[in-house]
Amino acid sequence: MAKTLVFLEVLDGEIRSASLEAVNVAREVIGGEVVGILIGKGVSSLKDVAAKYVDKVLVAQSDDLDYPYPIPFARTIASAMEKEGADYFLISSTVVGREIAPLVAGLVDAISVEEVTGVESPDVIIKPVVSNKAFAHIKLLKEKRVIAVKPKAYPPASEKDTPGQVEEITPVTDKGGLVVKHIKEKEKGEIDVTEADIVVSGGRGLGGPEKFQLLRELIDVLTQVTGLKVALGASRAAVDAGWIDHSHQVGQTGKTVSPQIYFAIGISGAIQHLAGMRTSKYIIAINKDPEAPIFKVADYGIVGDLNQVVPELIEKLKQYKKS
Amino acid sequence: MKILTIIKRVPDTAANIKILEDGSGIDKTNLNYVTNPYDEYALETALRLREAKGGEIEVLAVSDNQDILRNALAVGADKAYMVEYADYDKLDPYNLARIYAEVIKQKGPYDIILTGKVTIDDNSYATGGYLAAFLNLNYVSHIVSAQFEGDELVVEKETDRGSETLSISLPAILTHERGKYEPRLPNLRGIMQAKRKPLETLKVEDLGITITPAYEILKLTPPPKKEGGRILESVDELIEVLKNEIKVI
Repeated sequence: MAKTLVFLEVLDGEIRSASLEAVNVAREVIGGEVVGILIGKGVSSLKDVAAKYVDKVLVAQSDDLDYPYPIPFARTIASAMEKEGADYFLISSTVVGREIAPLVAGLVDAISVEEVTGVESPDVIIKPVVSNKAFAHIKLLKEKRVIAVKPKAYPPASEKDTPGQVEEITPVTDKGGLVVKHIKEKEKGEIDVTEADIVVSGGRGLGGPEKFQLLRELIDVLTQVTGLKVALGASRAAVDAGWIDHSHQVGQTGKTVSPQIYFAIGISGAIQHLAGMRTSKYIIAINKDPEAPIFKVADYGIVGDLNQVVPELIEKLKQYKKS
Repeated sequence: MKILTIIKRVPDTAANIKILEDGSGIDKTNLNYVTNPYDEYALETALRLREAKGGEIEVLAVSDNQDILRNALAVGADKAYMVEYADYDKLDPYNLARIYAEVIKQKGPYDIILTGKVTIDDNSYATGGYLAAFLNLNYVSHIVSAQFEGDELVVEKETDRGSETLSISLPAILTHERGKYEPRLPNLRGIMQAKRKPLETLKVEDLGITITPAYEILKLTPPPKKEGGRILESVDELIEVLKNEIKVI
């Protein structure tokens, strides 16, 4: 019987929904016993929430681990895998997940696959390759497997009928030579593009940094009307022009997203940009150039000046909300 | 100070990729190859660290072609190692990392090892983590810059939490996100000099490694095709789409 350890990543004091998506894969596809692991400072407070989703929760709490230091986190996970006799380790393919996954794999002699969008069976996974231009169906041949599941590829796990048991374990606390000097936190409430249900992205067509304010207004109203997580994205052209921070960049040298809806506003659709967003469920393009390549991948398009279309859209969404 | 930069030869990202009819791989006819773009940022950071502290930069690739290594020598690396391997593009990340680790054991030690956060051909993020585990090195991934402040190596990274500044003790392996600065291009003088710089060819057999595949690619399939999109005439029509077709409002 398979046994899977799943890392429950904590961000802003909560278990990330992306981690619950990985729990879902463990429960539904791999089967067998599913053990969650919480690591870090203050994670004890989340043990009861975690227990709702898994058969057992390991709580590795330490005040020293006030940051996801890769080496102690991976060592704690590797020794938990050994102690539990788990052949599978699942983690969400976030920045933290992609950092830790191969390190754990190296420690337990496993194959590591990241950015996985499909787990067909305990032996076969699917992931995008060659800049999202193909999907590889991969059979895992090593006995131990580390699978980093791409956020939004699966829905989060639902609560179980009976909560799992909780066990405290002692984490490794040697920080692996890493010292946190400074963290400039994101603006409060700002959602990462990889975790959003809807991404509103702007490109060169915006013409300047001030137009991102318009997109933020659209994000606010979409958040209110849909109740979903909406994030701000950008093309490389907008990032290179210095209009917006690189953390928003979608595409080849930015982030890969597959939200429910992707708004491409003033984005021509260079092949490198398409690589980062073409797996979105619905693509809606707004561009004044009817020949822009973005219209070839868009499900819906509006040919027009974004300076008129976007304010009108914001206004009509506000009215819709009232009605 | 001795720095190693690990680079990989990958299909050009701007290339039109065609999947072979039987799904066994991609069509390599007329395919252009480049250095994995994130590895170029890694090399740029290596060059900047050497400018600040002095030392040597070595580059390593598992390949059947010297082109990307010559290019790395042309922008300023001092020495190159090519582990000759015909089907290097079919090597899984686990075995590739084992080869790198063995070369590092034989040619190292290195103070700093740099490589891209991901190789865009197989979309693998595994090299850095594997090497940190195999070689017991300190490790940080997804950096956007690295510089010395005195003797302390300080790196920046962009994460879901925000912008982080960390310091890391050496020896360490760092994997590179798209950098804060663009990789330099070779000039003619560099290209001429590169021809005289040492490039040593190694063989997997001589490294004492036997390859047992850790995974097998069963097939490649194309991404889901988008049915021809629909041009909407008005914002009202878009509201209708959001309401009745996408059903999100």
